[in-house]
Amino acid sequence: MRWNRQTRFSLAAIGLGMAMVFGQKAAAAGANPMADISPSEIALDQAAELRVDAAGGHAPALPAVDGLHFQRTGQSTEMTAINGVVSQHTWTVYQVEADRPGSYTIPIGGRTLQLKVRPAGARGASAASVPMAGFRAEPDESSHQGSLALLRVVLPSKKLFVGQAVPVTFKAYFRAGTQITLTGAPSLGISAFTINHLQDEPRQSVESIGGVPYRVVTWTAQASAAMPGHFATRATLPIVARYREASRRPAADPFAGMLDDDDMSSPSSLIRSFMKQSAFANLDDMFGQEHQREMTLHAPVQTVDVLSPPTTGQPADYNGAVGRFDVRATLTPTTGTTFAPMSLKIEVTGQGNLDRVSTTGLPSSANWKTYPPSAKVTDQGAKVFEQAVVPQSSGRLQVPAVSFSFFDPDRHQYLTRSTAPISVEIAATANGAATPSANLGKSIPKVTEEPATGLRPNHFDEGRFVATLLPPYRRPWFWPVVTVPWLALTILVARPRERVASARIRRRALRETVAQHRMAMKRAAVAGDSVRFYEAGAAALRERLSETWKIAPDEVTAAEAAARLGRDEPIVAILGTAERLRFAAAEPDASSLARLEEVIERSLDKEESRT
Amino acid sequence: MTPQLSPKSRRLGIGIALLTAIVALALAGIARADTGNTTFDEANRLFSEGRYADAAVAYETLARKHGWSAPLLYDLGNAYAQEGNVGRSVLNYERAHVLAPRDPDIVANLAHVRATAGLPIPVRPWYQSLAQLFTPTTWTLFAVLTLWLAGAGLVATRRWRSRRLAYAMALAALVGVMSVAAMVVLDRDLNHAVVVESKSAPVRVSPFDTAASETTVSEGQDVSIIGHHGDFLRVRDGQGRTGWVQSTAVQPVVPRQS
Repeated sequence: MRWNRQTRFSLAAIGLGMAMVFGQKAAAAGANPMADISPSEIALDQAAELRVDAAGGHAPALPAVDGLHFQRTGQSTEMTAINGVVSQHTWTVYQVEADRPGSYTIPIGGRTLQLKVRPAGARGASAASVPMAGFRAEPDESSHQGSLALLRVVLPSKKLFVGQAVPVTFKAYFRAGTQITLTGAPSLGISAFTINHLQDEPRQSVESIGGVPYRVVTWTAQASAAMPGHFATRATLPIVARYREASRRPAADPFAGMLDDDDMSSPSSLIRSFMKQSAFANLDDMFGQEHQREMTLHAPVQTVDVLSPPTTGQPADYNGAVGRFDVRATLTPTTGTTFAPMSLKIEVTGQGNLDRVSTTGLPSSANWKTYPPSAKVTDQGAKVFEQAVVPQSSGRLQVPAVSFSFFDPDRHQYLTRSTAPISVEIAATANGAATPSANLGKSIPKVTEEPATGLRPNHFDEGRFVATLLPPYRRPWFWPVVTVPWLALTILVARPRERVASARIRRRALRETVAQHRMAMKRAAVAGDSVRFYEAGAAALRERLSETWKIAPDEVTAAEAAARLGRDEPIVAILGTAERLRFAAAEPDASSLARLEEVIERSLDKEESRT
Repeated sequence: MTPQLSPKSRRLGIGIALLTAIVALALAGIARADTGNTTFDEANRLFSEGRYADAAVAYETLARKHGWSAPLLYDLGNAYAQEGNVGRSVLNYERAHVLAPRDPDIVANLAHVRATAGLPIPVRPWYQSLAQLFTPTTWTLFAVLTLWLAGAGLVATRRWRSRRLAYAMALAALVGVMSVAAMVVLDRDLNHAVVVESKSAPVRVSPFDTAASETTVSEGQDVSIIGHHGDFLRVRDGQGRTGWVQSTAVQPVVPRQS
């Protein structure tokens, strides 16, 4: 009978599994309980990790050691395959903490373990001391070698104060080649803690652990406890993992054995884990199917004690700030006028949780009227309070020192810092008392923080007053104001046009009148009627010259013409003759009518061309 | 081509400029000069001390003496809000919003008071939101000035026949027409807007005290007037329901007499 490759592989896997199960039972039958502690020297505020071989799934009872506390944190399993013989060690892991410094002896499993505890803060000789109870910054090579994903959290201290901001580091280890997608941010897993300034873009690096390359993703953040108590961290990181699963085997979670220690006792998990880590891994991948699963990485549990700042020695103005801060104040402008607002900036810098830094600012006094300050955190990590202060009197005034109290967690004591008093020259206003409201509005910084009610704060600039909210077009004055200028504009545009039109008509009428007189003059000249000739010629001249001289035609006389043109002008004589003929019956000489006609015509043409 | 201005045209231009200045001054004259803020400071002090009722009285006194301003009405709204007087709070925020439609504090506090009191948020169509970019006074000023410019441009194009001048005139006319449209939209909204001042006002089926009540409108709710009869106003709420309410139960956002 010929078996295909998949069948052969399945049989081989089943045989290997049976060998492991029997091997495990054999190992359990002849096992000697083992235990170790790491590190062997810790500080009082640190913890060590105790591993006890739980052969057969039963860990030996822990001894009672005066001054030491044991807390079970989980279980880990190690598998070894030597010459085809697979052996398994399941370890129960405990966190060991001490009440006081000293050397301790832990008798367990037929062995005696030593633990040295030095005072808190003292630096020990061991370079491998861990920064936080029970957890290393790096994965333990012996227990986690070959794991696909791990999460670790590093806190600088296990004793904190409420409000104290401490750096926290999350490190996630993913074995090279594993396809992992982060679906969320790491969490500390304690509701009493707040995490601030968590990096959006974690740092990535590659580290080798036991010769196995790991991709390490590191987040740094700031943790702050909101309430006192004894807490245990349960840090988590949600991920999506993609992995290959052999086609004939159920598509169970291959990470289960790695991420949940309790599942390691399951033989199927052991087989899968072994296959992943053994020389069969590539073969397994070749025939496997790719799966994708959402899961959550869990970091080992660690405990943190959060204490309240002491009540003794607490300053009256203490508002809950914990850290180490400095404070300074500036006043702008550097000189002022009575009742003209100025801006007082109080800047708090240093290390600590700025969210808990607050101040009521400068209180009102006889010399200064003050408003509640606004607050903002700058990019440089300072908290700036801006307060409007209004000088109430003139002269050299002093802005008093503003004090700010906080609790220093390193010194375990309250400290108070004060700003330096600011001296400022205040000039009196012109009337000595009135408040220049226009300046008030421009200078007062707007309060940006919302009060507890959820309402935005009041406005201090009184703004421009209006008599009514009615829109302009609904008020009686509006339409006259709009229409009267329109009418005026229309008149302004229309009137010159009318004037131009009337002048044109007048000129045309004049031309027609003059033309009629000229025609009459010509006819008289042809007929030899000298009386009619002079009448018509003089009439034409009077009409034309009256237009030029802007006077009435009757005012155009020989005397007027002589005055304007000189006595030698021929038309003066013509006009004089015509006037004499009007008042005295005389018969002028008709022999020179043709010459006179020419003189008159020339004169008329000359005047007409001038206009 | 730059048209050469004759002396007559220059006189015409000066005339238009003078008339424009007169109207601008007249419109600007709507706003009175500020009056010294002793009372305003005093009212703010009362507010900061938590004496909201006293602060509201001080703000009201200042409004009676000197008129209204957006900050005054806003602060008055804050005082009434702190006092728990939702109706007057909404009314004064609405009035402040008329004078300063783009002030984010007014909008935020109005929304906050409505949300806290469980009042419906009025949904405005896009053109009404667009019209509320500026105050009615600003739109009026836009309309008058641009239509004047368009008129002057029309006269000028007859004389100079410049294409650029014609485009400018058309643009001015377009802005003028849009401004008039915005004025009309705002006027339709403001002219009919009232705020319920009573704790709860019954909405009756007819304008009589004995008429059956269909529903009630809540304190601070915005409704529109669509008719009146005697002491009753026919109103429509945001959901389109209509009915009659006592005129004393509501206050207009824009009072007819100030």
